[in-house]
Amino acid sequence: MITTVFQGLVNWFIPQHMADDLHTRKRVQMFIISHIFGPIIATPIPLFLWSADPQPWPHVLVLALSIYGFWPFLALVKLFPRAYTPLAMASVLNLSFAILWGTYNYGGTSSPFLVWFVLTPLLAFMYLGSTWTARIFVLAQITLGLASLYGFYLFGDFPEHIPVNDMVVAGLLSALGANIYVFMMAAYYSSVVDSQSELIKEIDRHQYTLKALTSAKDDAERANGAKSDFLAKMSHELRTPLNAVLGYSEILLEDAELDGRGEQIADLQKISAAGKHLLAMVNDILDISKIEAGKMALHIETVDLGKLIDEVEATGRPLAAKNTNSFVVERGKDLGMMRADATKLRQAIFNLLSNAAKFTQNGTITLSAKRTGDWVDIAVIDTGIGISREQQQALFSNFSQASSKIAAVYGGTGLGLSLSQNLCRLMGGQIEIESELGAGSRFTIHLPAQVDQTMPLPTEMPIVPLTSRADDDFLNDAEDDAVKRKVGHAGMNGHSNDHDKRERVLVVDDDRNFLELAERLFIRENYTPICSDAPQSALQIARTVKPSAIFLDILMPGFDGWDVLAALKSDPVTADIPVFMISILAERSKALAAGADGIVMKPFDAAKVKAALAALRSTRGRNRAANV
Amino acid sequence: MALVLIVEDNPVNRDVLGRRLERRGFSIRFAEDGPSGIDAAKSLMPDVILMDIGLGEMDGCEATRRIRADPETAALPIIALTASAFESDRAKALAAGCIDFDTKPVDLPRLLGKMAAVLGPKMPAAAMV
Repeated sequence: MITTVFQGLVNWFIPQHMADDLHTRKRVQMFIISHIFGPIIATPIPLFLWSADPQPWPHVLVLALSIYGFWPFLALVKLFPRAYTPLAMASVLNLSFAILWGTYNYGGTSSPFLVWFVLTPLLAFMYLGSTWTARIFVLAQITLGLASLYGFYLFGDFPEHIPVNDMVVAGLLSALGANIYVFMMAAYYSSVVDSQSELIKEIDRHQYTLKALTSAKDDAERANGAKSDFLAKMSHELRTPLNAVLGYSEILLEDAELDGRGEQIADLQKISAAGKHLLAMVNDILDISKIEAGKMALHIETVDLGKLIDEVEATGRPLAAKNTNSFVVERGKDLGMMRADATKLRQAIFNLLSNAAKFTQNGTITLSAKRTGDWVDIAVIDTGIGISREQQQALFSNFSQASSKIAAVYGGTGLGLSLSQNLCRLMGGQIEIESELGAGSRFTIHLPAQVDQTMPLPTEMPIVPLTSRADDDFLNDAEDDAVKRKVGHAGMNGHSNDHDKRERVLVVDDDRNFLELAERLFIRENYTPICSDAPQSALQIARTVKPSAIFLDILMPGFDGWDVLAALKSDPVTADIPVFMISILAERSKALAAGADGIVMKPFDAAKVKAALAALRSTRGRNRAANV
Repeated sequence: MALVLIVEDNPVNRDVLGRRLERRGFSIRFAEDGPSGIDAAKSLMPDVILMDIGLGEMDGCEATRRIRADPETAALPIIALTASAFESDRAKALAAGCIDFDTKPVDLPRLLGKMAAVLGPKMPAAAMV
């Protein structure tokens, strides 16, 4: 109760602007507490002198005024909170004066009071902190105080109001008091030192945890790479026996047809159909693991969009008819030609159609294609069971179906949509979904008409390479691939030829639309952007490709930009790579403090990219100059 | 009659592919590995070679290179077959000198289409798709 009231009183005196910082507040608290109690504790001294000194007037009064003069300092700090530092200095001077005044009047340099002079630097540093101002001030006031004591002695001896021998007991008590005071201070300081070493240990523990986390992350990435390798190998191993299943069932089917064995024909057709279904699933798994491993390549060609829709219509019609659905095809005007990977586009449309056919009965399935400027929209619209908003969110994940019940009723692996979405993203577009439960769904493939303009180079695909092999192996491989693809698709990309000379920049953001924009902007500046939407892999990519600069989004789910920055800066391989934080907030000082080289505000545009790259070049120029 | 040499180490795959092609009017010969494939190419001079890439010690690419390197057999058309669907394998096969590439399990109409492009008028009528 009393301590709370007292604490409240102390806090009431603390200037507002000094209350926020923990260390400053502690210093001011010391100042206030020592100014409240100091005069009370010191009161016996003037009382003793008044009684012991035969002629106490006026020097004991001066001493008493000086001792009680500490109290007005409290009021002054309250009235002029901004003047704390000069007030604290004045208070230290007042203390020195009181001690030296007592020393001068009672025994000179042999006075029992002189020992207290040692305390002035201790108090001064406690009030002011260990600034250079404080150090100079303390040295100056000690020198000045002792010099004036000597000066008074030179111009007419010490007064000796009480003989030194009569002050033996007072001297012992004074020395004891001073020692107790220093004892308390020393105990306080050593506890501070202890807690600091505790803090250092804590930091060590955190760094150890960070290392453990980093290695766990590496393990996870390796495991993911191993998973992709495993899936690819497994798919390969599964395809070989399927060769026999499909081949022999076809041979037997032909024999059965020749001999007219009707019952066997039906059974063999079931074997063949099941085998083909299994093969389709194996192929989907293989494709997904290829995409995850960054090994999916595009074969861009000129596609007659009208013809492609005709082909899809031919395969889609019997599919739609299965559940007695009617099939409508709507063609927009001037579909014309587009540049895309026809096989993958066909695969994506076919996936959407077979989904629509699966989930719609006695309804209508519409395939619509239209061209809007530089974009092509191919939509598959059904009047089927529809998908709720929550289910839509998980729809594009691997092995995800809207609900487990659906898998039981309709079958399928839940790979088709995820694969189609990934294929469309590879081609620089995406699949958009609009649906209402019970009212049907609309899936729209939204693709650039000229895939090669938005898709810079296969190596720059926003797919994170994850393999269990050594980084350099992967890099060499990726470069080999890039060279091969360049040979295979000469003229596909105007940037290909000077690709090797261009510098790489790594862009990490969870927003794929942003990555696409950034990709285009950096290419325009003659850089090779490597884009990743997985912050967890940024360190690994940076270690592998050693980009000239890294652009990091701050707000990412899970592992945010600050985490990535810390990881990059703590790795000797990547510590020197300049990092620019991308943010919607102005966090420049935080970014610089965390080791970033700058900040780029969202929204991103050409001017900001230019400015950042210019900053990058000038930093490098400076460093080079410094090295020379 | 168009003569097809199948170089394939897996006996089941060899048998099923051979029988399916035989039924469409091809004359079929087999080789079980790279070296015997090279010998068979030289002695039989087939109209087309279907070369498995994932052979044992000497892989299909190496066998293809050797067939190409021998002036006698250099002009023989070779179609690569593999259960691996990786782009790099396709590129390797074409770089080794294969004229075309197809994946396993064999999609017969697709393979016949590729063989027709190689064989032209020699393509048996029963195999036309």
